[in-house]
Amino acid sequence: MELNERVEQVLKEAFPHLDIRAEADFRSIVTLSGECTSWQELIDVGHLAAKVDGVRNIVSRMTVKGLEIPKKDYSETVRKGREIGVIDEADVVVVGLGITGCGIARELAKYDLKIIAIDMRDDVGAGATKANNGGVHMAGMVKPGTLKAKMSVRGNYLYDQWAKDLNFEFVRLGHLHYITDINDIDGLVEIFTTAVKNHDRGPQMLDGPQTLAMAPGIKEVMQDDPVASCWTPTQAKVHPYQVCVALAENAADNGVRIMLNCELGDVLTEDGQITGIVTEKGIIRTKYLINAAGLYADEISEMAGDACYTLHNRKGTIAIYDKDKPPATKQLAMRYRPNLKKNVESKGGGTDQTPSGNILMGPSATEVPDKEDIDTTQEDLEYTLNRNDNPAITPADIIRIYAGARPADFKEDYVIGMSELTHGLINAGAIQSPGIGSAPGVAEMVEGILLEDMKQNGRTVVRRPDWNPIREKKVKFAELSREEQAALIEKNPAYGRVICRCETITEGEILDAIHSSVVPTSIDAIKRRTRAGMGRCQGGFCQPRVLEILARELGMDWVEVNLKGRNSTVLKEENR
Amino acid sequence: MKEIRTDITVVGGGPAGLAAAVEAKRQGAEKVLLIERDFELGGVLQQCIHDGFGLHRFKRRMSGAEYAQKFIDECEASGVEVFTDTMVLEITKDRELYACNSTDGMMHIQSGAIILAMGCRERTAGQILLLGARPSGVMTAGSVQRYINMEGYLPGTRAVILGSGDIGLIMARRMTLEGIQVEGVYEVMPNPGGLTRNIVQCLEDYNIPLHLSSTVSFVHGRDTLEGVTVAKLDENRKVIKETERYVPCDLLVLAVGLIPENELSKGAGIELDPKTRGPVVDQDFMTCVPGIFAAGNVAAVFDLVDYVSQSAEIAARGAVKFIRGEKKADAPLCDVKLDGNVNFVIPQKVEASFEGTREFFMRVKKPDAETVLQCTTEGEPCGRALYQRVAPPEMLACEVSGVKNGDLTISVAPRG
Repeated sequence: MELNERVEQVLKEAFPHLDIRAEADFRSIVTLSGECTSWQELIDVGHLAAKVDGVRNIVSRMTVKGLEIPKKDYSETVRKGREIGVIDEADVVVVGLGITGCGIARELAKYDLKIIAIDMRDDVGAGATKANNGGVHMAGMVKPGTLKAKMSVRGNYLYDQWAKDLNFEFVRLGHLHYITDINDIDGLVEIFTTAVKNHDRGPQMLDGPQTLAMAPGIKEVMQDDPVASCWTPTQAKVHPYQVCVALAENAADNGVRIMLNCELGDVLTEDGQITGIVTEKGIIRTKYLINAAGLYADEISEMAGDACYTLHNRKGTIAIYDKDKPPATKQLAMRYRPNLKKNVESKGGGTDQTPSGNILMGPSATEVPDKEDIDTTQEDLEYTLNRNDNPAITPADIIRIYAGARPADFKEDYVIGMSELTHGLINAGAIQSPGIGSAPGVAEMVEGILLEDMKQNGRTVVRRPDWNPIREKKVKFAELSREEQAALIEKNPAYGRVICRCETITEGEILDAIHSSVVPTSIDAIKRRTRAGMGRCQGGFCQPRVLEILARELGMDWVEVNLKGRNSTVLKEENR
Repeated sequence: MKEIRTDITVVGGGPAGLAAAVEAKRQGAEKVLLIERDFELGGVLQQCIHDGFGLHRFKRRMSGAEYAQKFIDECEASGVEVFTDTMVLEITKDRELYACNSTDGMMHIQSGAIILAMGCRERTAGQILLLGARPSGVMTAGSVQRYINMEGYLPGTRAVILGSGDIGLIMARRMTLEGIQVEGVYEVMPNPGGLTRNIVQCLEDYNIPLHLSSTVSFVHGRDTLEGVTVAKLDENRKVIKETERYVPCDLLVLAVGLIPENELSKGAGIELDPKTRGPVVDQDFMTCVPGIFAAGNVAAVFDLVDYVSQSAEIAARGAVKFIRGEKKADAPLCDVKLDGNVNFVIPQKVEASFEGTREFFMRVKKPDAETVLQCTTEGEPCGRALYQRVAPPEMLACEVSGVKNGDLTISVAPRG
């Protein structure tokens, strides 16, 4: 039986009430069409089809009865870009400046290539990168043999060097999955064997006393009696947006041209070769397009003539707690919950923490048809709060709830590689959890693909002698001793003016962030770089001050300052 | 690092801090230092351009700024040393402070006594678990007040207010006067959160509807606020789906409560009362750390600024006694006992052997009419007040005298 017939048969058995048609191309990419009764059902159909033996990936043309699936309209962007005409030419264009795109741009900046990196948002890392639990994951939960597993393990290994060179906060906490009922031991063993199969470094099974010796908080605070645990020491934590900014700044310092508020509208090709892109800021000529556009990567691949996957937004709601209630353990300790194991794909996280010492809960995992939907809902919030293992915290300790997006394909693996249909298009798509941890691995892989292709096409690429891998450490006033703080203020009085009370962030730090190679223009962009407004009062005290500083330093009027990107001004009109 | 020694350091230059500093001087303290994080003194009063301040104290209606100015003038005249634009970073249990600004740099301040007067902050969208999108146009009532009254900008054109706390009510009127259309005020509880006079003067006089047992159940708008879904709540405060209604607006004002700012207090090891969320204090407003006092909204959120000033003056007198060695650091303390319709009282404790009269402030649990507030010590009356009506938003104040052996019971109950 042909592949498409096999897929149709499997779907007919599982969904007898639906009429889904499948078409397979020479690469075993299967395109599905037909009408489903709900969005979740469409997702289930796609997932099931992707599991049929031999299917490489799924493109969905399916519809949902009574639901208009939101689709982005690029016509205005294309019109604007074409009107402006050609503005620049590059060897490589990277589209999408989340952690994946920024990582790639930063690694490629080593070479004598002209690189332009663009993003539709007002800041780097402002899409899927900004809202997740910031895990650089151990390898006990990712399916062995997948590209995801390979990238995750490699990325985790490379993070030490990234953190050293780029000076972002990075803490290797280690992960401790424990059980309180010995009947659940199979689950732990599976985490352990998965980690071993993935060549994770140093996983160990521990008994109850060993577990408590390592993490007494499990008993003292979480009031659990562990009987066994699986210890995976490679688990680490970052602030993902901080990593992204550091990568982007280093890329820019090494000559990468970064263009923000610059949406891509179309990809230009000639005879199966990339020749350029149309953006709202004009046309850029290029032979290589690296597609790291998060949830929109599938659409960009299709614009380039290669529809080879479909992305769906699996959003997750997260709650952040006041630092008043510190994590129960130094390690990331989580009670293993067998009932959560039997799900299709990811069911999200549990009791977690940030490098700054806030407890973080979640995220949940809910499929939604709109790629821009990161609304929090009652249902998702309840799911997230129910994951709490720590009786010392209550919803009253929450300082912020938010949701983020996961750009998932139906194969639930990464799509990284040179397109077989359009030369010059390199996909780095479907990078979802553990995407933060995978970023260095993905950057390295894409770098290899590009250099190999350039070599085969007779282009010799040399390393730039002046490439500087180091992004200097930024001043963190709150972490200094009183003496160091005193000396710093003496050198620069701006560090003596505390703007954010809750996190003790000074004007000096905000000025450092503004006068950098990737200029933040919104209040949230300042927040992600400095933590001003991230504390318990959520900017109640500092927002007007941050707004004032932004307006002053960037020569903007107060009514022009945005909270979080285009069309989000804090103030509507002057009233003097 | 600059080394400074003072008799009394007051942290916060709002109404509590100003009153404390002035009173400390009046009581004869020599070196009194007042530290304020904003660029001018007065605290939140500077953005309160509405009247109604000082009714008890000065028997006239003043704006917040006017009320503050009276104290600022006294403060200057009495020789209080003032640091503005200065942030206190840390307070230790040994009455040391670290503070910094851009002209004096880092300062290490050793004090005979410290008066905490950091005030309070507003609860935020995150803390009330507001659902939906997180666009611009959602802000606390205090922020709206600051933007409109101090900075001269309008943050929206059509507003919905969540919460009927006093600042929210005041802002309903203020926004209306500035041409912002106020669609309504939504209150989760079955009773209003603010003072009755504000309900009448700020909502009823302007035909702004107040929806009780209602909430904003969803926020719409990815970049900037486009609207909210409002809904009625059942007895368990769950949204009644069928009552959901979409209201277009570009400003959602949150007036959902105030929280005493006690981060510095916690650093000094000061015990907090879970009810007031402020330090547990004795009849002189001294915290459990000897020589550190708390005044005004840092101790408990007051409804009237007059009470804030009064509590600060009590604290200042206590602080002066402390530096003169007239107040014991380790006097045994007894809990004030509560009876009837009393939710909490401040001060929460009394010394076993204190003399003279002191003011106690309390809030009731539920509204009631024709009530009597009664204070007794060892079965004898030691303070009394009558009220036609009481309600949780309105604080009660009562002068107490002649407490014996640390025995003080306060009750609020129906008359007769």
